[in-house]
Amino acid sequence: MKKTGAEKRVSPRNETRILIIGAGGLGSAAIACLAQSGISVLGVADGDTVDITNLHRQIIHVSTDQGRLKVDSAEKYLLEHGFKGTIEKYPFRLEPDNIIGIIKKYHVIIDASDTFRSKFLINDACVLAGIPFVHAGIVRFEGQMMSVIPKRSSCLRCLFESPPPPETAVTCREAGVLGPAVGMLGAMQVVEALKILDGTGTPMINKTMTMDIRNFRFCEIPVCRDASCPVCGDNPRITNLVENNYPSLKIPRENGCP
Amino acid sequence: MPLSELQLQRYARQLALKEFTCEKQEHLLSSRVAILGSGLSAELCTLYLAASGIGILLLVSDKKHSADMASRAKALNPDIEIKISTGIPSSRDYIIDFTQNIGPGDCEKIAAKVHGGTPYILALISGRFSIVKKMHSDDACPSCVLASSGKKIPELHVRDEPGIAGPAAAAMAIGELAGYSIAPREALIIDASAGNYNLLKIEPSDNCKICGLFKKTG
Repeated sequence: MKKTGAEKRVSPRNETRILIIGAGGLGSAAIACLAQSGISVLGVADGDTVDITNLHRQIIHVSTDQGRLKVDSAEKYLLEHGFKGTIEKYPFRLEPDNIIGIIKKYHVIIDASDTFRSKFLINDACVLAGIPFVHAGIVRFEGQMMSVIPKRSSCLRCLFESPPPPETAVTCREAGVLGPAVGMLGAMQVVEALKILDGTGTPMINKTMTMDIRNFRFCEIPVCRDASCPVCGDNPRITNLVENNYPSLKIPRENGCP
Repeated sequence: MPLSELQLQRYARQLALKEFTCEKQEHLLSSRVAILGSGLSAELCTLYLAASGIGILLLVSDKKHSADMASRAKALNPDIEIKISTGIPSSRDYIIDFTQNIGPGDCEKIAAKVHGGTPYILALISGRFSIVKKMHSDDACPSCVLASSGKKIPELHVRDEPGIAGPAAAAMAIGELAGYSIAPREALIIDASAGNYNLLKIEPSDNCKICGLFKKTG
């Protein structure tokens, strides 16, 4: 029987596996958007617990979840919203020694992490493992997003070779963040992930999109693959994941950033 | 009423924005926003408004959806009050409309809402295509907005609704209610499939019978 357009769109998702790294601000929006999307396996990785300062933007957690692991709270949200697939929880921080083994189980990764260290680690792991991922980051009203399809597109290190110096890194704890701005970006990441999975639409590769939600200005900046990129370049320096490539930025951590 | 210690913690990341102050947060806590319609975007909009501390949310949708949303929003933020209504409440500071059945009759209703003086945001969603537009009294009507965007609303594929319009509308409303930004006069056109996010200025069409209604009531 000839399939209709809708069936064609739906069927690939029956075997799809998406991993969301981070169940904070971006991850909350992504989880909320994926709850009824028909994907078969949703992985959620986060080692943090819910804190009251999370609740102005992390909409999948509720007040009574305070102190609870975010992956457990995310699972509760998904089940309450009729998610029919399998939920795989990773209640710990992904590190150089465990990330590859985990991401290899998935078709697309959504980077909803909250530190530069994690973002560069996810980039390198995905490029090395050949797994597409959708990067995003946000502070205050300003965010950015790009999709990376290894061997087909530029990567985060083509844009920024390394994380910024700790003294210049601004966090939402210091500078604040608007909840719905995080929500928009998380929802946009889901669309990107589904486009990559479904093979439909135009994924945001080889460019990064920046947005300022105060005035709803969006801007696309081309990002060409850099032949000297340390991870996806012609002679890469990073060929495996070692701790030294991911120094902690020594920013005081608390449960709070998106 | 001054913010409690618990509220200062709950809204800490919002209050850390230099555009926000305790007074603005208190103003949000006394604001009333009506949310019309259901669907993923309406749900996300409700949750972000609740989380941000909009004091009273008025949900106008079918009873079951409203009851589910009310319970979720209240669990997220016990500070706020949720009211369920079958019609648009007369007492409100802002209206956000996610109902998708835009026809001439609906445009007439929208004209009445716009001219009722309450700030009004219209969100139209079809598949991965969304429009979020703050409507003004001298504005193009939704019909002109759709015609200008070059797209007609096709059959809704709710399963593929990206949900982006929900937080976008919430951000517009919060910006205006907190007084740190004014919603753009242009329409926010989201073509998520193509990865296009643009503000588009839309002029009322001279030939449009519905815009004529706007002008008449203006």
